Amino acid sequence: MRYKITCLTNRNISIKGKGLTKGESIILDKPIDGYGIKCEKIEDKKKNKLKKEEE
Amino acid sequence: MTDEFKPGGWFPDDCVITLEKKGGATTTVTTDVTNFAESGGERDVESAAHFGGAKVTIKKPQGDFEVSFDIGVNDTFWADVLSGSITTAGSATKVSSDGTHDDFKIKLEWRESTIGSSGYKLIYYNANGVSYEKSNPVDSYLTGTVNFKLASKDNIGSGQKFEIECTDFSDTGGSGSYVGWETLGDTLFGF
Repeated sequence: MRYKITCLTNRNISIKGKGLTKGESIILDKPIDGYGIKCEKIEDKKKNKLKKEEE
Repeated sequence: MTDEFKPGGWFPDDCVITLEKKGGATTTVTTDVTNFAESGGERDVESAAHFGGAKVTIKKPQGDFEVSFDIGVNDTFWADVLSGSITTAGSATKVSSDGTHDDFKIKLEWRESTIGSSGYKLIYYNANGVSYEKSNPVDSYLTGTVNFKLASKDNIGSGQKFEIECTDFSDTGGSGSYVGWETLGDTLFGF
C-alpha cells in the first residue's frame, strides 16, 4: 500500500528528510499523520482494473 | 586559550528548533520561539545516618526532564502537541481536545554560521506535551508557553536525552559521530 502525503501548511516541514512546501507531495509506503499534512491512500490501478474485469 | 566548542557563545540566531511527532512530519518551529528552557533531570542523593557517625549514601532515581518554550501563537500547530486530533477541510484546520497524547522528538541545534564548523545539539526523545498556556495582554500579542516532560530513560533503560557537540558538523562518518549518534537514536526510538 502506498500513501500520498501532501503539505497543507506554510510552515517549514520535512518528511523522511525531504523538505516540503505548501502543495508539494511525497509518496510513502506507510501512512503518517500530524499538523499541516494530508495523507491519502493511493489506489492500486492495476488491482482495480483486475477487480473490475473479474466483476 | 581558545575553547573551540564555544565560539563566543551560542546565540538564538545560530539555532534551529524542530519538532517531530512519532510517525509524523518534522516541523521547523524556530521563528515561533522567544525563549527555551530546560530543567529537571536531577540526580538527588540522601544520606542515612548510622551509629558511630557513619553515613550511607542513597542515590535516588533520576528525575524527569522538563522542556519549555515561550512562543508566539500564530496557528493551531502547538495545540497538536497536547492533542493529536486534527481535522482539515479546505483551508481550515481544527485541533480538538480528544486526540492522542503523542511522543515527540525535540531538537535544538546551534551551528557556527560563518566561521568554523562547530555544532552543538540537544535532542529530547519521547517528550510528551504536558501543558499549553496562552495569554494576550492588551498591550501585546498572543503568546503561549508549552511544556514537555520526558523520563531520563525509556522502558529498557536507554537514555532519552542526547547532548552532542562537534568541531566539524560535516563529519558524517560512521555510526559514532555527530550525525550518526542522532541517526541511531532515531532508529532506537522509532523516529
